[in-house]
Amino acid sequence: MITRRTLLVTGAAGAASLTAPYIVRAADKPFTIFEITYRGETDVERGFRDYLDQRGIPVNIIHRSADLDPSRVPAILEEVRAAKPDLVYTWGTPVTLATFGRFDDADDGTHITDIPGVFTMVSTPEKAGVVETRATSGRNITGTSHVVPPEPQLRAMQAYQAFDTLGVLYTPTEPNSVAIVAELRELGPVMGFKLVEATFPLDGDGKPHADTAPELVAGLAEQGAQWLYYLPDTFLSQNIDKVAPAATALRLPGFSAVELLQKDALISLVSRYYSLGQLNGYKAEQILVGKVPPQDIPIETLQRFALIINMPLAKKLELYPPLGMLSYANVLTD
Amino acid sequence: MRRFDLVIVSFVTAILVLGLMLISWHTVRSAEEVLLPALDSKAQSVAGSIAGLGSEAVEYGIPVDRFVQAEDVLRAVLDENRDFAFATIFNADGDIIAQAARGNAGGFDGATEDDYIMVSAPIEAGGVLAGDAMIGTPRAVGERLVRDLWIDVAVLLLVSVLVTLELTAFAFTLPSALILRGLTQRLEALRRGDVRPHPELTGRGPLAEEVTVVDEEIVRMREEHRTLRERAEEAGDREALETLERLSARHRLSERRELPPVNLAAVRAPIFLFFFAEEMTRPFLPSYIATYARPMLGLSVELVIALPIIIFMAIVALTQPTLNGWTERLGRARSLRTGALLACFGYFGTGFAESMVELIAARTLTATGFAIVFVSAQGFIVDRTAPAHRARGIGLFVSAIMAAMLCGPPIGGIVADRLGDATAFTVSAVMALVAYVCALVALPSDGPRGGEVRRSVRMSDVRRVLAQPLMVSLLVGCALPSKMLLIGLCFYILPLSLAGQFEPAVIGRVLMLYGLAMLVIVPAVSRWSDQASLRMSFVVLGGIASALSVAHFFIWPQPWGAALMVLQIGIAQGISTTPQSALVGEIGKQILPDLSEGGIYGVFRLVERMGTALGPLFVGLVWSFASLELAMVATALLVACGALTFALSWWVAPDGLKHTARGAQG
Repeated sequence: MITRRTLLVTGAAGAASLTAPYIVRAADKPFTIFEITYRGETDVERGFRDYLDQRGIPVNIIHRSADLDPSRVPAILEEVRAAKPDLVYTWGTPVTLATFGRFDDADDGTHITDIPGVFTMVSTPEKAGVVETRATSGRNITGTSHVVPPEPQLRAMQAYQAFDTLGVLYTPTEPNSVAIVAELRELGPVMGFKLVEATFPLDGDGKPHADTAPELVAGLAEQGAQWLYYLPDTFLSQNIDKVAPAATALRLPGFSAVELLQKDALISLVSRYYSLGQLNGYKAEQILVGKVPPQDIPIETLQRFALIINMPLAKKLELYPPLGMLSYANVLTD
Repeated sequence: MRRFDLVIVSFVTAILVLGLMLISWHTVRSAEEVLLPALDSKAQSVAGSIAGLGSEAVEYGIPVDRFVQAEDVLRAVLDENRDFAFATIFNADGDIIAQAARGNAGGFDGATEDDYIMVSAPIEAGGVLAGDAMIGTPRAVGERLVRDLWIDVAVLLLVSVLVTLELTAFAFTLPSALILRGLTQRLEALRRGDVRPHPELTGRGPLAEEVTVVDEEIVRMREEHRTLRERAEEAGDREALETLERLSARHRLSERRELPPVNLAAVRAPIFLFFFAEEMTRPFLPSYIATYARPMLGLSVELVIALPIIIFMAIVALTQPTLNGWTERLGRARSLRTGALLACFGYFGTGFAESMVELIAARTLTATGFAIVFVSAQGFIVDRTAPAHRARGIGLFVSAIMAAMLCGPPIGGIVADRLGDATAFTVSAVMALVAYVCALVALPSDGPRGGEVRRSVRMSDVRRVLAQPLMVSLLVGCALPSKMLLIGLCFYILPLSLAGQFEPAVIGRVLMLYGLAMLVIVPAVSRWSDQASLRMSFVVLGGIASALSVAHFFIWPQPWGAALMVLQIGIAQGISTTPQSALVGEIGKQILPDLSEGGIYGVFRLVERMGTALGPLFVGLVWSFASLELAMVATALLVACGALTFALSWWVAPDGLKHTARGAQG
């Protein structure tokens, strides 16, 4: 028979499982975390620290920046080996690869393999070779990616202004862009839109050039594009000043998936750096406090994103956002 | 009821009703003072938030006339606030820019101050007025809120009175009350000049001493009368003998008091409280289950929702024969307490279940406790009553259940409404616990009983009873579908389909009508059907009427349609229930004279209870393959066809059988 005591015990266990998954080691010495970033501290690191602080996890953070040059990483790794931290934290694809190596080519002498690691701001961890799959790294690291998946991006565009034709201009030599366009082609029939594409032409050396960007944009507009989708394409980002004004002149709104282009696109849907840092903090907590092996922790992106509306551009295009969107979007003003 | 009880009960009830009425009046008045302004300020704050959003847009440089998809914002506001009739945005010139209106409400144009409370908030940027946001609330909403409150309070009042009556009756069974009542009985009897001896009453305290004094005096008087009589007989004094005889006749000096049945009132309160706990869950249980239901084990969602109900009913139906012997061996009082405790845990578990599997497990536990309490309470009464008083004893049991059926659903609905489903289950758990405590205090503990254990239903009995076409048409044609209709429609599909539109309190009031109709109709019909010897007609009439009741659901707007349907089912089943049960015994006696009455009734109850489990199964199946509407109609058709089949079987049955059955008790 069930007694009151067993019921109470079951209830108490249930209640405990609802609260903190891990119990913080009290009054222990702090964990040492070695942070290596690409260009100094960003909001990601602030979110990371704040998360650990709010969870009451004592940490001692050593921070080093590669100052935009990944070749500086090996020297930093010497410091890491001397410091013997509990966790190594890396920012961006180049720093992450330089620190932990490729999943199929990590070298104990060159890379950090014996200390658990969390990486962040790696846009395509599988394609970059940091991990083989997102489900498990298969080694001593885990981490987060900042790229918003295409589907929520397309839905954000639909919510602002419905479309049936989507234009995309990208660099054919950037594997990341090619992969995203392939994904868009698949999503078209499912979500009910037609994709019209244009690529930056390549010169004799196989290098892209942007001289004909306005004509390419005009071509997309002629094919009926109602939105121009700015991919996380490095060459496009560098030449956005040739693309965006041409689109605006044609009253063609642009959409961006990266924070970098938020002033050129009409709307952007991005992962907030601060939130990404918090997600990375959660993974660090699992490793340090929960003692979960990093290979058992999946690589994830955020589930909630920030929508940014470029109001000066909206006024110029006379394409105002739906009233309801203002209650959840971030608005850029003049 | 004895005069003493009547006086006490009337007194207690009068004080209670008066006090409650005063509190109710005060409550509703002060609620009015709080509620209506609160309604107004809610509209004000929503208008303010729409205007705030509008102002933000204007500050960003979007002109009010160029607002995009503002209707969507207003529509969302109406969806979130059922009380509002329309929401409108105006520009600075007072032109309507966007509007959303509910159902038949026309919106701002045509709305008058008489019918609507209209509040607005300014849309402005940099101190310049750019427009307005307005919310219109029908004045009827406030009136409806207050009316609902009055209904809730009235239901509470009615239920409090019923509960108080139960508890007062219970209090009479406590030792001190028994002594007090015993003394009153003695004094009243003496006042009437009745000096028959009273059943022995033991106790302590001055009252008990008084009782003993009275009893001793009665014994002395009777002894003296006997001695005088003997002496007169010896002396042959005819005159003295005549006087003594006259005295004896007037004061019933030589008579014995016919002992009343053992006091069974003690078992009534635990039964009432326990069934109250289960009945409380009726209005919200199906929709509560629905929140957990996902298609599983290849079953549709509709069937998954029905699953805990089917399992509950099946456990109650199938375990009864076994439990009868088990509770007899363990002791009825002890098993009753065990059952109440099991159910208490069951309710608690149901309220805090985190998955469908946990929910089913908790309901299974509740069902087990429920079945144990049901069987042991019945057994407690049967064990303590001679066959002559048994009907009265069972009547006590049935009326406690009916009172619970009347009180439980509306109270459960109100609790779920105001405090949430989980709290309502906790309240049920507490009620079951109180039933446990009542049983602990009041029921004499009975250890394991030796001797014969009454036999349970045998498969051979079932086969023999169901080999008789007339019995089949009565049991499977009438008893089975009528339970299917009750559980499948009233306790499963109806609360579920109403849950989308109405609060549990409303559903509770609808379901209460079944208990109300039964409570009024059953006693009236049981007298009438005996006198009129019209049992067969009553059974068929009840079947047809309960089948037709489903039409109300489709004819009238809800919740009135559902209410009329439940009321008619209650009346119809109230009409057929007693005659049906009597017919089973009578026909059984004619067709199967060698089968005991207990055996025949055992089969009858088994078939009837199978209906309670088959009902939700059948309804869930039809619903998942066709529609809710068809499920209701199909169940009704089943009931109607069954009743007509019975009528037909009766019509072709040999005349002799009908006459004996008809005249058996007539």
